[in-house]
Amino acid sequence: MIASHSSFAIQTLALNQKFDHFEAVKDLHLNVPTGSFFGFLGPNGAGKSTTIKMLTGLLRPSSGKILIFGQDLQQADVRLKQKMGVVPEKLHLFEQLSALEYLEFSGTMYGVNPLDIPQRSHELLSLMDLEAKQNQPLADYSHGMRKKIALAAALIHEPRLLFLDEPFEGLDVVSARTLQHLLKNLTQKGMTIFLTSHILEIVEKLCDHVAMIQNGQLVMSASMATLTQSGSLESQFLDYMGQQTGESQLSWLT
Amino acid sequence: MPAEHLSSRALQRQQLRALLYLQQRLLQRFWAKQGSLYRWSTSLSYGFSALFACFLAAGVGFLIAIPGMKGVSDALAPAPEALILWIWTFAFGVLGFMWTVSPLLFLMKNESLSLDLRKLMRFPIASEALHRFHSILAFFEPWSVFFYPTCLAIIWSSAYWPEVTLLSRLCLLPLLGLWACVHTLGNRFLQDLMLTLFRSRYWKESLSLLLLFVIMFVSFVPAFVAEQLTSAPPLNLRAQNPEALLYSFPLWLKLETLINIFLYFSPPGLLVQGLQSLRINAYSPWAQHTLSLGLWSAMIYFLSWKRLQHLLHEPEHRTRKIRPNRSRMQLSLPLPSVVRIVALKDLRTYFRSLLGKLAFFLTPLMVILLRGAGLGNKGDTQHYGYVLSIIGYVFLTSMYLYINFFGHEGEGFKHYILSGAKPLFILLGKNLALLLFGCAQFSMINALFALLYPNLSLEVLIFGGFSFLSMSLGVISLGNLLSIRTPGPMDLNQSHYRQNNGTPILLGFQVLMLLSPLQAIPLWLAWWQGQSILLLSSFITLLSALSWILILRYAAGIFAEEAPSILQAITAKEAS
Repeated sequence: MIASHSSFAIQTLALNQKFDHFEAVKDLHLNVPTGSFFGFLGPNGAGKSTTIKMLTGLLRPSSGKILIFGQDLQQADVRLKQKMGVVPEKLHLFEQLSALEYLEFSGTMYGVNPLDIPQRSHELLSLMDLEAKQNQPLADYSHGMRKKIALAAALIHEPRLLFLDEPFEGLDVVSARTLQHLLKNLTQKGMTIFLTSHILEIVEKLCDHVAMIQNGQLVMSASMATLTQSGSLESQFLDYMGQQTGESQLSWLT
Repeated sequence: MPAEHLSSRALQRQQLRALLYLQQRLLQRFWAKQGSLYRWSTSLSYGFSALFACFLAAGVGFLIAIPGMKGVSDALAPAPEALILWIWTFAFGVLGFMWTVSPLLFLMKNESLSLDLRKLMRFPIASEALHRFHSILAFFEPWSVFFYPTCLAIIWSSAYWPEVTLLSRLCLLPLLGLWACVHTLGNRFLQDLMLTLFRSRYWKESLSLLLLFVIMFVSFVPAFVAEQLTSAPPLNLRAQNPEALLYSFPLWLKLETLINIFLYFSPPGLLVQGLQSLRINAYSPWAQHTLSLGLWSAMIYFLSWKRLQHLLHEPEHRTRKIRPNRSRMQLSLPLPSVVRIVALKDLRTYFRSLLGKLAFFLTPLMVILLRGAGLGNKGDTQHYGYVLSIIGYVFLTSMYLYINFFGHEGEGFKHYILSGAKPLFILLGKNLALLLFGCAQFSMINALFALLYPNLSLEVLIFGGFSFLSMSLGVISLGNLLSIRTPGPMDLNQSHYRQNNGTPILLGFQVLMLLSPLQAIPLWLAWWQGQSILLLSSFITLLSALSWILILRYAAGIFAEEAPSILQAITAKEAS
């Protein structure tokens, strides 16, 4: 049964993605409560980014259904995308635009009132500590700075649902801390955040719900409180993934 | 306040403005980043192309008028219609060919010229609206510079058509308008198709080779047409040689039917027939051909829409299994392992890259074209000159490889610094790779040369070998210095904009100018002093080898100092 759209921001029903003979995502059933900070974890190549691409409409699923706020993503019109903000794995920025130009472009594309765009852009750039370099082309930015701009562009239209694929990768400590505070505040205001990250400490600190995926299959989904009752998130993650730490290998090196 | 709602399918005015502003901004930045040499050469080449297209189309338009002109047709008797038909078909064949191969320009394309639609997919735009925008922008693609002048020249030349009514002249407009639609939408469709296919390296390489083959094949067409037009043997084509066999091969006759079918039903064919109908004020066939062009436009629009949907929603990277290469190349030369590894790696890079393949296959094409033009048929003296011209051509086609040894390494260059390998060995490996690559090119030419010139003497071949070796050593020595002193990033697959290697290319040309006459010295001395050509050319080769050794040692000395700045230069960010 599909729950009403008010209780879940995202629901997937038997979601599959097949590339040639490789099944990247298999029979994924996911429920992301509205207003939650949802951590989506898994080892490299588990299918996290593929799932995000499908959830944001950037990749058509091989089969299955995706409901965003109760609306079928395949059937819904583009207005549904206005409720979503995305920071994808590959940032896909227009590298020859400056940061300010890119934010203004994003705001315009999302239909933000043109009078509000300059103010919002400047506030976001200030928050990301990029005001001094706002007129430089994005091609000259470091990876971390580009990540910040992608995040700012994803926030400029006040989305109700934010997808973040490895947002902390490449960010310096200060920026990561600022971002954590910002994201926490956003969820408190009712925004739903769907996050993938390999930094389990941050996930444990921020998220209230967690799901784990391995080889394209969901292996667990629970609230953070339930999951960490019997140990840290890292130990639970290793237990679920059944990974060896590799200590016994490379004896010639150690 | 949440963002205002957008309607479901239409591209909003605000979004349209943003997209146009984006395109304009990217183009502006792209142009501003280029050097003045690039700007001038681009402007000039575009100007000349537009002029060429104008003349071609005006000529065709005028030819359409000829049969109706009294006196002119009498002067061209006995067979003006046949002559006109041939030239006319050929001219439109060229236009059709331009239409077909213009997606080749895709290789030079970057996002400044055509927006990457994947980057727009995250925004709330319906795919239909995006496709419409994508299609409209196709009308302003840079290669329109060939196309719109053609249409304008046809309209202009229609003024010479005798007894053509005003209505017929007005009817030209929808015909040319629909032709423009088919052309631009077809181009976009082919680009999108190639974009998908080219994502796979194997497809990319196979299609590039196929296109090269088609170009080589098409290069025979003018000679074929010339042969059909006159009974006299043009440019020795009637001589008993392999080309004559090729031209008289019955396959041509079968292809002629296929080509006729293509010309009749293809957009260029429909346009030609439409124009011909208007010349005699026949509106019924005009309507039929205009409608056919309309159907072509609709079909291409539909196909491109389906293609785009697929392009936008399919995964960017498909997983593929790489088969282990069992027939791995081995260099069993008594050389240090670093030299062998560097040489093998570079050879592999050159042979697998798009530009390396172009250099490798375009040189034999040049041999065929020169032979087709009837050069080198009159005695051994011309054979020597021919060998020298081909050697010059080998280095002209692959100049970019010889002036920038490290550009394609990118971040991989770090390994040379971190591994602590001797600079002399690294440079030696690079030199060996280029020498072997050039030798492979030259061997292929020699094979063709021997095939096309049955009376070729062994002396000419040995002279060619010596000349090639001495030229190679000279060019490689130059490359050692230029690659270290003027490094820059270089994408051998040219899938996006490559930085302008203007300065080293100019220097390279200057040195080529000096090296080329050096190879001809044995010929002059032999003629003047009556000495053996082979003895003289081997002496020149020895001198080249000595200079190469000295320059290599010097280059190895400065390589260690310059390595960090080379790394910085070749990993510098380019316009994406």
